[in-house]
Order: sequence, then C-alpha cells, then structure tokens
Amino acid sequence: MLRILIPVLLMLPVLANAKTICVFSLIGAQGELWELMTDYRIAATGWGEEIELRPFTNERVAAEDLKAGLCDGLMMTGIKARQFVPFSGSIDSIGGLHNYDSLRVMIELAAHPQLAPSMRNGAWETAGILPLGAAYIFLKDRRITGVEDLAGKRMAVFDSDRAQVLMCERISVIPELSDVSNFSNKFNNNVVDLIAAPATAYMALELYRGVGAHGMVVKLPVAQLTMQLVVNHDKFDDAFLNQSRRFLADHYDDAMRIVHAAEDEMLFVYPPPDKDRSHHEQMKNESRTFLIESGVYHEDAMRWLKKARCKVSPERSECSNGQPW
Amino acid sequence: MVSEMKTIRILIGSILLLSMLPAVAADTKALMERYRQSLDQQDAEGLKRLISPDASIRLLLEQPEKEPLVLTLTRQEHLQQLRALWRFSETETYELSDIRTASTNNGKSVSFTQHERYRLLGETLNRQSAITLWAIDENGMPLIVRIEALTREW
Repeated sequence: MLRILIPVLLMLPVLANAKTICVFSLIGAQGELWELMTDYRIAATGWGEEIELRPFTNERVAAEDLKAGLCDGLMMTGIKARQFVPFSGSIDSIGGLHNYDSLRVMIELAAHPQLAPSMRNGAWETAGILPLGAAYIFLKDRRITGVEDLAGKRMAVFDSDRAQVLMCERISVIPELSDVSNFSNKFNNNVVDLIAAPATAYMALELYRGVGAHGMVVKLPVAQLTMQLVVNHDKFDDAFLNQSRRFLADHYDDAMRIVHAAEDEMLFVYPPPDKDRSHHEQMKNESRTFLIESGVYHEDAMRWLKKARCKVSPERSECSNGQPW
Repeated sequence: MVSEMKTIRILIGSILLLSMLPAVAADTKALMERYRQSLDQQDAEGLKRLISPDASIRLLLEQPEKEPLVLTLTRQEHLQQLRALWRFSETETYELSDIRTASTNNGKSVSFTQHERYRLLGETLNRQSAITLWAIDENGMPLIVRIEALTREW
C-alpha cells in the first residue's frame, strides 16, 4: 500500500504546480493544433514546467478565463491576442505582411530574445506565434469584381477587431458584428455577402457552402493571420518564455504544411482581376497607414513589419521611401 | 522571267504549306484527344503534362452589362481549380465542339467551344467557353504554352 501511496504523494506537489495552458480550437481537443500543443506540453517538462492543457471551442470564454486567472496562458487568434499584447497582435494587421516569407521573418524576429521586452505588455507576454494562413476575401457572388462593387454589401467582422469595422466604413461596406464562432454561419446562411477568412477555416467551417457555385475566393492576402500563445508573465520565468517562443517558431514549417494543404482544397479561388493588380499594393499600403493613424495597430510593431517586408522584398518602393511603416 | 520565278516561289511555298498541314492536323488531333481524355478521366496529372509550367493562362469571364473580367492564372492555379471542381462536383459533363486548327509562327493553335455542366453544392453550374490553346513542339510532343478562354456562366 505504502509503495503505491508514496509515489502518488510525491507527485502531488508537481500536479498542484502544473500551469494551465488553454487552447482555443473550434474542433476542441483534436486536430493538428492540439497535437502540436501536446508536443509543447512534453517539451515544457524539459524546460522545468508541468503543463496541463485545456481545450476551448469558444474564444471569448477562453479569453475571459485567461483574464480571470483560470488559464495561465491561452493559445488564441492573433486578432484576439491584440488586446493582451498589442505588439504581437499587430502582426495580423491588414496589409501588414505581404507573403509567407515575410511572416516567417517576423515570427523569427519575435522569437529572438532581444525582442522579448516587446513581447510583454503589463501582466501579459506572448510566448510564441504560429502561422494560421493568409486571410482571403470570400464572396457569395463573383460578379463583384472590384472594391466599387462592395458598397452597400454586408460583411461579417469580428467585434474584437476595430480594424475590420473601420475598413468597412472606409469602403462603404456594412459591418455585421460577429465572432469566430458565428461569422461562418452568417456567410453560409446568406446573412452577409462577404467575409475574410484563412483557408484553414474553409473545410472546418464549411465555407464552400457559402461560396456555392457562383461565389469566389479572392486570392489576395489581406492579412497574415496567426495563433498566439499569450501567458501571464508572472507565472513563467524568462528562460521558459524564450524556449517557448523558440519551440513555436521552430514549428513554422509544420503549421505551413497545414495551411498550404488547406489552400490547395479551395474551390473558385481566383487571383484579383488583371485591371486591379497594380492598385492592390497601393490600397493595402493606404489601409495600413490609415489604421496605424487611427490608433488600431502598435506603431513599433508596424516598424518591424516593414523591416520584415523589406528583408524579403527589398525591391518594394516603400523600402526606400524613408517612412517608418 | 521575274514573273515565272515568282510563280515558282509561290508554287513551292504552297507545296510546303500543304505538306505541313496534315502534320499540324495530326499533332493537334493528338493534343485534343489527350486534353479531352484528361478532362473525362479527371486526370490533373495528365493535363499538367500537356501544359508548360510557365504557360500563360488568361480567363475572360463575361459579366452582365460590363466588360469581361480578365484573370491571369498560373498552371498551378488553373489545375488546382480543376481538381477542386472535380472534388466538389457530384456530376460533371464536358462537350467539345467546333474544333479548328491553325499554324502559328512557332507552333500551332486549336480553337474550340467547351461546354461544361456541373452539379455541385446543391446547384447547377453551366459554362460555355470559347477556348484557344497555343502549342509548340517539345521533343515531338505538343506542349501548350498559352490558353485563352472567354467564358459565360449561368
């Protein structure tokens, strides 16, 4: 009896000290993200922390539990993470990063110990970032061929993302306040005419139903979306946080394999019309500047995003214009 | 004398042209057979082998009361769309008609009408396209280097 009890009693302090990392995933405790976080939990043991994972299918509830201290950390969308750490949350900015190479550069930068102070905001610190895929515009009607056709159309926007609301107003689109748990239903059930979403949501949220036989997906990255692990800074030491950021950055390629596979499944995905191609970069630049000046994005983060864009594409005209972002 | 020489040159040119026509027709016939077979068998790899990796693919989608929407696709984007269509559609039919061939400066072209009908996601999608394929000879096989399609959907 004692032989059984003693090891159990010895383990109790360890379990009691286990940190709770909550994981937002629409499909709960399954799928690639959950598997990756299970690997993270095992790796964390080697960094001296016992981790308990808790799945959440509702991001809003998970964020409230993080604030209430019921989660010591939360893996959530970058858009949601912006309210906790505006610096890293600005990586998902509209027009912020133009391709996956620049996203890789930015995630690597964010994992560098020298940038660790920027990863912290008060009680919160970003302990790692994963790519979720580019956000594309999904339309119910492919006769919508330009921004001018969008006036008066309804778009499901995340209520936690002021950027989307401001952008809608800027192009005379009617914003329909939504969240990650209901925006796809609004699109699939004709409540809205368009949404922005990554390919990774396409099969999981059955967005092909909303696109139907006569809609389209515009193959133009509006933003590079991420999943970000935000933790309560006081619960983890700096060495752990650096290792955590390094671990997730090292899984960039694994996450991108999922993104590419999802993008390869999409139906009626077309590049923007030839007539608009030259305008798109200008439109994205103007949108980004408008949103920075509106106070939506973290200015220092936007400087780093420009560095990432110019590192992978030094030929971009902005790289020699002397502007900070 | 000059007139006779000119007549001979025209004659030789005509004979050369006539001798080339059956070859053009044979090549394009083989190309079209493989193209049709790839569509019927939903063989994206077979279609990929017919199209040059850097082919220019231009889609002109007719729009009501507007100029056609012009989209330029890569081979990968073009094939990805076909694969996705085949995956999502419950039924699909392809009819190719009005096939015409012509010689060009460095190869040949085939123009035809393609009618597609899909049943997908609870809806019917019809497409009628006027398609032109431009092909060059690559190791004795025709290789499509340019595709242009004017498409109407309903």
